[in-house]
Amino acid sequence: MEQEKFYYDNKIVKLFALATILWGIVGMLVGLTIASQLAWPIMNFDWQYTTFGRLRPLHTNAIIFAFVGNAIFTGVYYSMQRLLKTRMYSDLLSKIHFWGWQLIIVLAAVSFVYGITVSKEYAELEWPIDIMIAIVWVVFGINMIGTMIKRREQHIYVAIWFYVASFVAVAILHIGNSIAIPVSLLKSYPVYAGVQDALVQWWYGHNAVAFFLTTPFLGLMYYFMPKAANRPVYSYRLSILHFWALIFIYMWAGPHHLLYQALPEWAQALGTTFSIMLIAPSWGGMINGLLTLRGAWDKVRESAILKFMVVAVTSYGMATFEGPMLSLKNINALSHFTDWTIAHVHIGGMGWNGFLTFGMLYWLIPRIYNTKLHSEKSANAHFWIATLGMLLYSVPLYWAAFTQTLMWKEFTADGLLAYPNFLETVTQILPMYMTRVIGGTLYFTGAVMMAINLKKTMSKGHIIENEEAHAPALEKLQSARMAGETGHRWLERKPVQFTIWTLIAVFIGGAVEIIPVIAVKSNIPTIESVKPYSPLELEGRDIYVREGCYTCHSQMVRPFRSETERYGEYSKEGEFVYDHPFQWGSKRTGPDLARAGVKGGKMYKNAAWHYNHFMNPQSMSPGSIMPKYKWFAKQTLDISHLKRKIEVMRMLGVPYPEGYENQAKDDLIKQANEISAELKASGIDLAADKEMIAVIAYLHKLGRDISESEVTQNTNK
Amino acid sequence: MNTNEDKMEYIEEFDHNLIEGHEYDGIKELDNPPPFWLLSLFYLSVIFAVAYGAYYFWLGMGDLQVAEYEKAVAEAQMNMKNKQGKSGFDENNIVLFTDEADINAGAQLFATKTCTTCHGMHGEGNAIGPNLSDEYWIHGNTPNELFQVVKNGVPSKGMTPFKGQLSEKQMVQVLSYVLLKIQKSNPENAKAPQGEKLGFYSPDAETVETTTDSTGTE
Repeated sequence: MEQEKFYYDNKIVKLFALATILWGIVGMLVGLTIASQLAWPIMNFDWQYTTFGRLRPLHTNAIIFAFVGNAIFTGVYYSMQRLLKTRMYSDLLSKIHFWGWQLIIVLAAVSFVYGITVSKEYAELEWPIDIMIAIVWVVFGINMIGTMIKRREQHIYVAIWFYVASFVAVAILHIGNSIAIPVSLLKSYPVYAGVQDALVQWWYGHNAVAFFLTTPFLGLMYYFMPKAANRPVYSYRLSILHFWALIFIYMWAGPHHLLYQALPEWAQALGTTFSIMLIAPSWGGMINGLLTLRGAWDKVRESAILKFMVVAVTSYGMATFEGPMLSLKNINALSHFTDWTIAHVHIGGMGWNGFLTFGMLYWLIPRIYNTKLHSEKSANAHFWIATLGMLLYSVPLYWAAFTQTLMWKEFTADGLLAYPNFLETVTQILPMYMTRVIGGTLYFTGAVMMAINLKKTMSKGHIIENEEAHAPALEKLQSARMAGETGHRWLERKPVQFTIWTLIAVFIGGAVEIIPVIAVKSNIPTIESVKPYSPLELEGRDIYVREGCYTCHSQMVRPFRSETERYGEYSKEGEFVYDHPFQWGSKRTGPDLARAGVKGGKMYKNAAWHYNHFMNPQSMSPGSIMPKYKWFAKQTLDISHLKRKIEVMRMLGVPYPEGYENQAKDDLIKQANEISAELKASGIDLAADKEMIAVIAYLHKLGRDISESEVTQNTNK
Repeated sequence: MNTNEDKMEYIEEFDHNLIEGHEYDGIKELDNPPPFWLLSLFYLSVIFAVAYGAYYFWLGMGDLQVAEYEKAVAEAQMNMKNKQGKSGFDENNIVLFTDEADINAGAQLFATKTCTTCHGMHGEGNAIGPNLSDEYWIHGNTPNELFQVVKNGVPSKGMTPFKGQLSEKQMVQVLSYVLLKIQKSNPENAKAPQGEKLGFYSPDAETVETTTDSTGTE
């Protein structure tokens, strides 16, 4: 067979690798900052651009999309060319992909700091950036599929199956979850409301974990682990089984983020059962990785790279067991809204994604720079310091979670909450928050050591921008299945068909859950007394979203006695029909606010209290870790988009009467004056046009509409 | 030539198992079957899923979340009722504690159960809540009236109901602390009077019974 000569593009691999290291360090540093803010609120710097609410999305997005994202692309661009024996389909597309992605990251960082967000977790970016993401993602997809088409390797290796599935699924998820109507260049409202928005969001959120943090990394594992260990993959048949099972089942499991919440219970049950069915397919990947090392364990002792990979795969195995356990109702009843979730995702993020990335970089950088790693010793030290960091990060958080959830649920012999003051349960776990910062610092230190080590490796070697390679041209086989060829083997040489089948596999789960919740009315029983937000409340809600209040406060009272005793009536599906976006939250660092507007309820505080609390939370709640929001009293409420906001809301089905947009401003001013007067009566002078007034109006709306029916219920008893 | 090129070295036992034609950039694949225990785990998880659906939906054996909640509440109410018989508190005849231990307990509760955030460290009042040390009262000054204020709150004014947070005994302890210690204590930074002048609480003299409601506020 005649050998063709061609060149692998290593330059693009280098760029993505450098971006991985840079954004990794940035993302971890932001993580360290927000971890410190929880332990020492002074770390919020009393500055609106650096509060926890704004930096937390910056941390999650920087780690997921900037650090892990660039790591995926590094590995994909390196391995794909070699697995398919060809250069990438188009250098131009590779470049657009790289620079486009970095531009998105920078824009994202700026918008989070400025509070430009839609508040849907890991999908917080506003619509213009969402469109850019979609375009760059499609560029990546075209480049990938084009490369498969011009390949010289007859069959597509399992790593690439995972890359393809990731591309297809993320495209569907991103577009499906981001559909919104713009109000202005920097503001939009999602088309879904309340329960639907929550379901779509967690279909996305869960599968961002699946198809951004998991499947691409399984692909990387299938390439870099056998490479680093010089061992064949343990089982081809297992890889087929676990690949298809994983991508099909994953898409169904999203509702496990909404257990015991205002979601139809058939959907919750699908979330639970499909999560349990995910254990074996997930472990399939772990087993295939670990058993690949059979006979190579002596190497693991010496090689930092293999150690990183082994701990990565083991962390993956732990996290994919823990995830389904957290999806069981009785465990979720304890774990949800606590630091358990945070600890869980950091086992995945630090262990699986971080360690595999570190291992991959240590392996790959010397290769494209045609040299040896500068210091194997430093890499080993990195491994141990990162492992210790991960333990010191996660163990205190598990401890914090158990402590806090038990305090939340404890009743005295008299049937009263043992810790009715939420703050008591927070101050109790502050030592754990402090220890967690130490763990994070160690992990971060390791990453810096890696950066230095790799930098020195790079200066020692010389980048081979275009690496020469040889392979025979692709032999043309008949299109139909050949004698003795299995169906799957046939599919492996049909990249387009393969892509279509993955598309079908990932599409089904989401469709079965989401379509009925949107289309079938009975899934969301309406409540007549629930009314749309007044213009002032709507503006206040937008500030609540801007500040990222949802990162610490839920608006979802679950049907447990310990919650209804603490907060008030449990939340119902029909309460959220005008919520674009929903604000249920996923973590309670502060108390739930769903009943903050129920007069006479346990959570109600009057305007003066809120004013004083926002100005200095510690003055009202000594020991509170909430940042000060003094700018609420200084900044004038921006109502320049009010008219358009009302129009967009009406377009989305909120029953503002025709022409109300013209009256909205007057109504807003009237309500603002009332609150200003109320504050005045308590001796607080605050002009009616300040943001504070709108936020108070919004908080006093929360749960107010159903409280009236609740009152009548109570008097009937 | 790349200095990192290593030759694949195989251990004998793997070789017979390699699948022919499966080699990608030097990575080979073995023809091992998926582990039996892993497949069994998968089938078991499918059985679990079906059983779960049957238990909660098709057979309707398990309680859905609202039913579960209502049962928990009913059970708690039963327990409370059984206890209440013994507690001996008559809401229409609140008797203050006069012993040191209970008053101290009340002071402790006053400091820790968020009373201070609205009524000040020493009951002097602040921007949110009224002064508790003076002779002026918004909702009456008898133990019976004030017990209701603590228990059920005053929603329109922002006073939190404490019925889920304090036991009846604890409410009376706080009340004892307020009426026996804070009253007449003349704390610093006392807030201007609010409500009507009903006089200091005095355990000996019957305080003036008032029929006015809470309209006397600014």
